[in-house]
Amino acid sequence: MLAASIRRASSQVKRSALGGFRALSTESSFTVTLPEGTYETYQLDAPDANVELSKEKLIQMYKDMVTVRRLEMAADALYKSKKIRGFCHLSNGQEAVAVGMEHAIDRDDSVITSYRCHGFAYMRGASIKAVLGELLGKRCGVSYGKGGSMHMFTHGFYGGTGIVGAQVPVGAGLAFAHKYSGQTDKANFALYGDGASNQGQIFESYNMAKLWNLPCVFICENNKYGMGTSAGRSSALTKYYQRGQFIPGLKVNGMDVVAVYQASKFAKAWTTAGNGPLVIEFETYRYGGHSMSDPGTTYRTREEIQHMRSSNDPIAGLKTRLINFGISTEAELKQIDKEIRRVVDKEAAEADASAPPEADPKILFEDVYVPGTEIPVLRGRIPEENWSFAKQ
Amino acid sequence: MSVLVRSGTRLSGARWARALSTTRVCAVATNFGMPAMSPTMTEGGIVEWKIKPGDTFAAGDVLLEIETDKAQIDVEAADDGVLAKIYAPEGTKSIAVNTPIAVLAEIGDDLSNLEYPEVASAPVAEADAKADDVAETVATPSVQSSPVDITPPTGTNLANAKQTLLPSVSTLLHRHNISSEVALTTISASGPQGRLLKGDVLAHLGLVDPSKIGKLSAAVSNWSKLDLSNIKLRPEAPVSSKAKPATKATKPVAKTLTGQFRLEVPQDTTFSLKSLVDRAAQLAQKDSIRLAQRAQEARSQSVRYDAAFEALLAPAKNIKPFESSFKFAQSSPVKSRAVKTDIYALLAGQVTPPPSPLVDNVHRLDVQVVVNPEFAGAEARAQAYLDRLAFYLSDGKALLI
Repeated sequence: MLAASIRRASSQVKRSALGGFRALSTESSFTVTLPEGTYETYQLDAPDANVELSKEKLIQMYKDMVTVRRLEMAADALYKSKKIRGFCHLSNGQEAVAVGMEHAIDRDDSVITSYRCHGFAYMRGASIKAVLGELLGKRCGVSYGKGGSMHMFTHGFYGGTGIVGAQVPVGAGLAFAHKYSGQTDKANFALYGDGASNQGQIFESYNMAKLWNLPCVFICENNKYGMGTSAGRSSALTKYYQRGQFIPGLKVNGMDVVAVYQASKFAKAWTTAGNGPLVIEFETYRYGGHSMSDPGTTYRTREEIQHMRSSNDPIAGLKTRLINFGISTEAELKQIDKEIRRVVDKEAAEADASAPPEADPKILFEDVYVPGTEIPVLRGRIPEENWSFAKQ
Repeated sequence: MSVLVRSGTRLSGARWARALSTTRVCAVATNFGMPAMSPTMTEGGIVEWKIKPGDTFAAGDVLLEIETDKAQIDVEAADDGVLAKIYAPEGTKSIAVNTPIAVLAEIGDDLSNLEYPEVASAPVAEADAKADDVAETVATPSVQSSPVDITPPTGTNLANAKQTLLPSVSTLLHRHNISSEVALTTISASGPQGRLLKGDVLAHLGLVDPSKIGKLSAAVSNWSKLDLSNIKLRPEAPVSSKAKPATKATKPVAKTLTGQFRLEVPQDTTFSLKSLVDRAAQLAQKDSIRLAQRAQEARSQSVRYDAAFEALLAPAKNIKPFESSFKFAQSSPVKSRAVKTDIYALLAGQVTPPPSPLVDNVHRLDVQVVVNPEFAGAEARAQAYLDRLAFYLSDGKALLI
């Protein structure tokens, strides 16, 4: 996708100044040792801290994270120039979750998440232009410009759900579908935030998933704030990985893409092995406000945000690793950054220039049913708005 | 990862960037437009630039503070960069959203050799906005008209062929073996926008008088809009100063009951006048409460009495029904009271008689009882209190000692 010349990894053993990072490199495969404290477990043995990854995979993870960050920055700029209207929730700082997870699972696994979904939509296969086009309300959008920020769907990606927490029961249902239709190697990943984690429907889903041993991974993306309320002020138990009670839990550093990758790979293996569901907590951080209307600094200090940016950033973290492993150099990574920025800017301009959906009832009703399964007449608000599929 | 390592990376990044910048002849900077910090913001002013041209900034740093009609907001940088130029200095007001206010370059760009992007001036941006508005206004009617099939207006009696029949109509048609297609072409419709009503079918079948349909639909169309044709303006009533509007503040006014008693203190008593009056007031107070309780008991015998309702009406415990205050006229000799009489009043015969002369052991007591208007039945209790006080200060004097 991106033209970037990557220096061949040297075959000698590289040791970083930090004890935690150690790369045993063969020609193209590296073993990353995750630092202590990456995992916390609940009724579970922690996944292996040594993660074997190819050089290409690490570079690709870096590219993906930078792309997601750039995508969100483009959305931010378009929103602030009033080209994107309505709801828009950005995931700056949380890129490692979407990227690490996607690299660990298959295309046919199902993923469902909350409204902070742009990164997931991109990682699941939507193009940059499709995501930005959707935000701009253009026909080229991933939902043909009719869904907007909260409603993006691609193969194996079931949204993008506007209702807080409502995606989790649907995710359990998707897991049930995997099990029911005999897809023994498929699992569902249902993501929700720390704010949604107190919803009753999440516990109902836990219960059914455990009762029927569904291959469902419940993932709490804990970015520390549910809108403007910190986790400690809203939750009696902030150890979200222990919320499953009868379901084993795993807490992972969600700012480390390799840790997210390893945990997701572990979760996929755990659930498809018939062990039933698993609760994962990715501890992460969002740099921006909850939505575009939230400056994000009224309930936390700017110093806290800048500290997280400078000490815990997932992109900077992986960058340090790539350089320490000798996989890439600062200049090469900078070149990648520039290339991605150019590509995202180009796609954003294309999306901005493309046409909105036509104001035609045919287009309005075209995605209500899967073609061939329509009912004869779909009722509108008033009889004159009724839409007859049969007459088309 | 640690802070140390991260800052180390930053430094080396800056070094690399410098190294790279030497290879580039000129870089393209980007315009930084006035951001819309909320969906409703249309324009903003610049309160303060937090950085100067030439300064570098990191993602998340505050670039400037802007003010909108609602608030002052810090604008953060989305990315690392350099402030190349400021177009809108501090204190500039009413800058339309998207109007360039500065130029941002990438870290390491040579500012002296920077290629500045074209500046779309504010009027252009406004014109764009206006064009958008025009486009919207033009688009609105077409949007309204396109998805809805506008049917011929009522009165033509043609049934709208596209309608979904009402359940009552389709049942009736089915019962009489009329297909909906036939019904829509043969039966005249009296409903709004050519809707076929049950009455139309009944009239068609001859089960009701067809003339009634016309009458009914005429009446309905008559009622469907508010007829203001026969409304006349009310003649303006002559403004009388006396007729004050009844919409005055409804706060009840405190009523005051007064009483005047003449007290004769026996010479031989050891009680002071004050203590006697206090005692009388105490007893009168008790009596008034007892009387109120007795009245309450009498009411409770009634079949209409409802304890729950009474509890609702009962005033709060800390509210007193009335406040009483006493004022003694001192037993000063009459002679010392030189009453000045106005000579004109004397000539006009308007002299008020001087207060009754008081003897040493005779006192005058003025009682003032202020009734609490928010306490139901307070006036009756105040009156009872005054009556009992009068009793204790006259006939019942013996009870005081």
